[in-house]
Amino acid sequence: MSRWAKYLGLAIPLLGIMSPWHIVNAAALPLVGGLIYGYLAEKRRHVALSPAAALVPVALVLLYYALTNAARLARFLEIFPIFALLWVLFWVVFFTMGATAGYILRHRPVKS
Amino acid sequence: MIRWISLVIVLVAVFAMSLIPPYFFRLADPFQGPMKAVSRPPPPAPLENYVLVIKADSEKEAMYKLGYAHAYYRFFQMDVMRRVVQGRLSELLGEAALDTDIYFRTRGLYIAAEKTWAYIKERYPQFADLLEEYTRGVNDFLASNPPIVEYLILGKRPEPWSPVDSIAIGKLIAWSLSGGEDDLYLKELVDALGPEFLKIALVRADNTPILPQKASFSPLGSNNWVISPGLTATGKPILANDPHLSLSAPPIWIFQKVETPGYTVMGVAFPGVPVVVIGTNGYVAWGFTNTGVDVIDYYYYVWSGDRYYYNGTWLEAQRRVEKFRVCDLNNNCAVRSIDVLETMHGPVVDFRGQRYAMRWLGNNVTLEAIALYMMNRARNLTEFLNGLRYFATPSQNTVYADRYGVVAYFASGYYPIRDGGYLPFNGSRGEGEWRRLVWLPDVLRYINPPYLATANNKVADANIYLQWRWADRYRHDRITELIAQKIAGGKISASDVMDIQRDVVDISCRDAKALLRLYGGVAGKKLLEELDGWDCAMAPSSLTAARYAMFVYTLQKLSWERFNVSITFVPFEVTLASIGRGLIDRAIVEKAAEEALKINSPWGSIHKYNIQHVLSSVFPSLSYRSVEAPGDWFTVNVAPGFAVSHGPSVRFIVAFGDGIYMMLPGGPDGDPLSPLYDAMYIPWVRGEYVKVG
Repeated sequence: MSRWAKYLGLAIPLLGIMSPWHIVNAAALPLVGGLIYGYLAEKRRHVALSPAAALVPVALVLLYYALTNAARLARFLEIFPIFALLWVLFWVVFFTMGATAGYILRHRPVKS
Repeated sequence: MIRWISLVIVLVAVFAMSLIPPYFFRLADPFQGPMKAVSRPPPPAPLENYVLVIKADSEKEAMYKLGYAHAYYRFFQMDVMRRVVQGRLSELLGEAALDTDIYFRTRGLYIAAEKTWAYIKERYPQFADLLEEYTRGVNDFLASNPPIVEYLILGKRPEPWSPVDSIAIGKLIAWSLSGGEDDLYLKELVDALGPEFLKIALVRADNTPILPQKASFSPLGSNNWVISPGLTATGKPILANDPHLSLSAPPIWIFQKVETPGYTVMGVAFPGVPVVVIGTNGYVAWGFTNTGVDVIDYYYYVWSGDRYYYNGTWLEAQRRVEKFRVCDLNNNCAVRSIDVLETMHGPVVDFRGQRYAMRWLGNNVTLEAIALYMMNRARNLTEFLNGLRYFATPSQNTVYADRYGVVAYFASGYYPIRDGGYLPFNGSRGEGEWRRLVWLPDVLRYINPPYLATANNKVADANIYLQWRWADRYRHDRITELIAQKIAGGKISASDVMDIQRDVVDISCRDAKALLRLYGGVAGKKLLEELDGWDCAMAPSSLTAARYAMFVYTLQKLSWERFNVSITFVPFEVTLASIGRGLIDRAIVEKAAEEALKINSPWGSIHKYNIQHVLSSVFPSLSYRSVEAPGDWFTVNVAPGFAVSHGPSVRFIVAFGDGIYMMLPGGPDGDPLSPLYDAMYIPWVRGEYVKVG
């Protein structure tokens, strides 16, 4: 499988745009995305980097809203920073948990 | 084994999801949570110079577009207002709103709105059609599933609008301007201080009625004024109005201009109600302040269970069961219910353990919406009065000016003729029955005064009881004083009128100085020396202004707090008279002076605007920022208290032959993510204006 396949996992949280369920969008999809990412990761380093990797879909969502209306996005972040932080925290935590579980599930020997 | 560990991690994650309260996921959801509000669709109608502009080929089209635009810019505010009247706010905001719900549901305002709508549909079908078009506009907007940030935070979906909701908002405004439980609080004070206090309250020695002549009935915090053409720079009349209401984010008004083939009208409207309340159509202009005329009465009875004694017979009170859904942040709702009794006089309310039936003019079918609709279209005084005739309550000091040079004043509304009305009646004895209603403009009017100002002060000396809680005369007297000064210097312009609306001189200082001279003692003498060198301007930079405000505040507090009434409930003039007559211990004057002298920071550092959004307690950043507030309780540019949440809800000037000027305390757009959310706030604080016509 291509070494790029694991990055499919980063796209999974973005599927939330089609889902009406908050728990799915805020937690379940990042968890599944992390599972895929971790399962397909070849090196433990990739799993260690999963919190940072989770920020990639975060950045894509922010980019989407910035392109939609940058001024409103800036106002949102100014007025409701707590919501944005909560969102990022959830995505990072659940993605990382998923990535760790996925990596262990595949149980391959560690490569440095 | 290691695969089990991965399973455990996944299970821990799922377990964590089940432990976290669901609303956290809602708030953190970037697609269906509050962040979705970033992707708001473009506006249906533009805001030109902060004015909502609606252009239409017919009145029906205008109403539809107006409904859509009101909802686009202000739907959450509209919803909160209708829910207040419905007594359904706790469905939206939870337990904290339940007391408000019980208060309004008990008083039956929404029931009155439903009756009014049924009446309008039957008797005024053309107007009903227009209101239905407006409603269709609101609901079409809602059907587009708009991302409104407040609902996304609360996890609720907006419910459809109804024409009754529009009428209900009118009832809410009318109630808020009708005095509420004033009679019951007055009774507490009279019980404590005796009939001498009642005499002081009802007949204040120092007052300046709006109307110079005594009004004779054959059985009657805002500013407005009109200046006749002979006194203005343009040779045409000027009308000014700054109604004082609660300040909120977004503002209670939206400024709109509606252009149809038949007429164009502009001015302020309540979001949720299509008609302009204060405005102009190029032919006529009008403005309102509250008269405070007493149209609410309370009745107590001898009770036996649900039966009450009335004029020799026992009558069965009607019972209605009111159910409330109280929802938490996760939208788990509990149902509560209360029983409300109704007597022949109205709903029974509880006030400090005593049951009273409440009779309020506004709980009948009243047609203010039709009145305003006709006034919006009026082209002269006669047509204007044809509309005003439908305006039942709240009674308003109505100033009028037209392009032909006519200026006029009317105390609008209807007034129930009865014996008394300032204290609760013994309903069992049949006291306080309303004998008939009089249309106030039949008696309380003044056509073509040279100039005339109103500031919630006494309407007129009359041969019957009309009101007792009129505002202290200071704002009124200051306005007339300034107009007279301007006239002495030449002709008056719109710019002069702006100066008057911005004025922060508190002339109550003259009365306060007299009080200090008499009863101030040592501290009073020291404060008096300072006040004597002061121009009575409540400027934010002034230390003396801060000390004066503290003196007034402490005087009110020491006088009335012990009676368990709001310290601003009793007018300052009544406080002064009560101290003067010895009903209140005169030693408090020196104590108030001592408190005042302890202040060592300028007025602006302790007197700031506090303008909040409904959700501000959870999200303070939704409030407008707190800045220094000029003025005080008694200045034309009013700013009562220390955390100021009441003031000029719009500053509006129509200078025929010159232009139309306005400023709102906030922004035209109620969406907190909009750059226009607070666009006019700081210009309003500074006393600036925009020319809108």
